[in-house]
Amino acid sequence: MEERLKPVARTSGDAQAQRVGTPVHWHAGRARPPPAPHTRFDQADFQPRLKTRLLVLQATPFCNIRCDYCYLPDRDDTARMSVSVACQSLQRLIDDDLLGTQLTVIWHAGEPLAMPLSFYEEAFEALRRVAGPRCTLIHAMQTNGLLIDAAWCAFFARRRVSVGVSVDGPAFLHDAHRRTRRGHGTHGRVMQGLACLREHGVPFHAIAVVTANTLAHAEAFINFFASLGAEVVGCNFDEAEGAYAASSIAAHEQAHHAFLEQVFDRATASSGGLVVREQVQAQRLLAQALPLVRWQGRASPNNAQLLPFAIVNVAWNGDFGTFSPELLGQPSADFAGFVLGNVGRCGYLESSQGEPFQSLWAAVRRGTDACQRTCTHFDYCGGGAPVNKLYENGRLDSAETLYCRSMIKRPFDVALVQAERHVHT
Amino acid sequence: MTTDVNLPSEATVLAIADALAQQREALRERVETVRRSGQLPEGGIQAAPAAGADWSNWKNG
Repeated sequence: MEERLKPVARTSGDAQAQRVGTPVHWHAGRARPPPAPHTRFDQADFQPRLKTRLLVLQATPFCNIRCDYCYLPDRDDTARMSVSVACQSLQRLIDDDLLGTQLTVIWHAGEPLAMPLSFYEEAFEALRRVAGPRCTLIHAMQTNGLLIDAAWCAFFARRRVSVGVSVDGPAFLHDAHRRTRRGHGTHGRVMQGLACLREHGVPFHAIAVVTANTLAHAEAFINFFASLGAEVVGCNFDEAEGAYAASSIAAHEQAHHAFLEQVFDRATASSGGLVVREQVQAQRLLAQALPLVRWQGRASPNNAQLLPFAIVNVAWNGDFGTFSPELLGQPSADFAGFVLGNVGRCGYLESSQGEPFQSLWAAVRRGTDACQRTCTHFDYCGGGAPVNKLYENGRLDSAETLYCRSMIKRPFDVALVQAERHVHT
Repeated sequence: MTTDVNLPSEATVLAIADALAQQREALRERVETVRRSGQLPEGGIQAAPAAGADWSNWKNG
């Protein structure tokens, strides 16, 4: 399979030059190995029955700012999703019996608030009608915060939207990466947006991108978020994926470990004043095992990024994909841009009979098997993230990544040591 | 006829598998000890967002 070959973007030394719109090409220097046999997909092979948990709707690929670590390939494209496409995306879930009693719809990829508010007013109402009374829809938006105003706040409150704001900490950390197209920092405007949310009593969570620079300023980072008023803060890092070729954390993993120790300790000491997503998730894993999912009788911990159609991702024009949401729309001749079909022309399960899905599913399965064979933390993860395997290791059918170490293993290990300290005192 | 000199021996493969199994078991025992204690620190579990909200934390915008 083509995914066995390294993408050129990962092998060049000039990462900076490749950060914008770098398509994944594959080395032509050696012969491609023969295709691996396809992995059979049958909904009946899964127990419990497959249901979609997350519908990611990319209302527009456009983003009004230009963060230097962004993975999105088309953020200058001002195309917009129609209400009709949004409804078809949901109707297809119903047609395929993939809709359960609750579904989170997240409006993401591109800046969702770059769409007119009237679009969401209409779309939310239309989606509610499509879902009917048996399914509760939870709408979520992840925004850069620049366009938040009183009208948006009233909408968030009325529709009970789960709002996430991207903010990297104090201005000197945030503005180093999150800038306008003209290169100006965006921190001031984000803080205005956050103030507006607080004024209107709209709860929000924050997501920060931690870079190597953040690690040296843990105290300032913690103090900022301790006083922000967010319900929870997520500590992502600048992952190497899509248009962003190399993570700054890669050479600083020990420092990242120390950073997490400091952040988790402060969060614990705050007694709920500062809640850190990675700590909460790790503590949940410590408290209770992940539920199991069986595929062809084989049990493994439930990881939605590895289950077909557990996450469904739909682009503005109706093109759809599954597995890691970041994959959709990424340039890849080998996986047809990770587009499995279009909601206007075919259903999700129907697409599973096509070549793009079958290649992808076979590679994802082999990657899960690789994790099961080699990873100490498999029981607490279930097999990692396909998008990170592809962009870090050059192939989907691989195992550990920097993402695994930074977002799963290290937080888990830090939380475990913390818990052991608690047990022994 | 060519010989692939890069393939590890069966003994090496078994030793690696055995080491991994031991590491997994050690980790499992530590986790079980914490679970049995019922002493997870406060401030995290109790304040966790409702199910579903987790997924809105997918990625920065």
